[in-house]
Amino acid sequence: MAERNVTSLPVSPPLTTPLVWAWGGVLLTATTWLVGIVALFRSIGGLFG
Amino acid sequence: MLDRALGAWIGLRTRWRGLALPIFASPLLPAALLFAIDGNERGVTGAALGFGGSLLAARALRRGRQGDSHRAAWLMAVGTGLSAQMAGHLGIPMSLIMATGALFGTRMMYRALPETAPPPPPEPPPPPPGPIEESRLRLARIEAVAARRGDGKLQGVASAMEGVLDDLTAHPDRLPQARRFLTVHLDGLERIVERLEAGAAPPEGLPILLDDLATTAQELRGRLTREESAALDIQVKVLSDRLREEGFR
Repeated sequence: MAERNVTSLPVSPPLTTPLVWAWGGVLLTATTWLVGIVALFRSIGGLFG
Repeated sequence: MLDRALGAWIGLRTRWRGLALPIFASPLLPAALLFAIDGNERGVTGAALGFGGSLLAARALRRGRQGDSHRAAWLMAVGTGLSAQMAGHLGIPMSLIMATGALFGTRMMYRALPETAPPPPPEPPPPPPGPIEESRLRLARIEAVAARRGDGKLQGVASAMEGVLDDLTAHPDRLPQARRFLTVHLDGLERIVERLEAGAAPPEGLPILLDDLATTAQELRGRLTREESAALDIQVKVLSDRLREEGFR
């Protein structure tokens, strides 16, 4: 039996990708942004402490 | 339909990718300023490292090459961890948790965005010319000067040496025997040509020297050919003897 010439189509990302992005944003908010806010409050506290 | 919408969204995010990272780290900027006013050097350093890490991560993501999103995630993790420890005074365990969160957060936020393959390494430079090619280049310069000056003797020497080079190109194995000859003759000729070009008056002995140079070049060609003939003669004798010994003749 002759083999069929199969060309692979580019795989499109799953439709849940925006959810992954959103969770990534939440994680960055809960880490990098929060660290910035904590540092900001500490710096304000250092000025008045 | 949804696929197309997602594709358009990916396109938009690819155009703007990385620019959100400094926004996440932006509270560190006023914090650094206030730490500086307070004279807290450790706090300033931590805040600067955190914001600098986010800028470097954004730069890596903007480049968009394969592996850049990994690099950006690690830069964010290091920046966040250091700022948490130095500016936020969160302690080592909490700083590590924050760094891990930033690592996975950045990875997740920039998943599925297209990355280009790194450019191919630059081609290696061409190998330097061999001794024969180099000698030909030097001889070509001498020939050009000889032709311009209309100096028949100089042209004669150059053509005799070109004959030697032709022989050496055909039989590169003879090069070791002719290397010293080439060096002495070419160096000497080049110096003579340089002086003549600088306006020196040719001395009386120059035509004789040029004749000698041409003669020795021809002699060298003859000697190399004779040596080759002698080698062939020995080969023929050896083979004949062998045939006789083996009883074929």
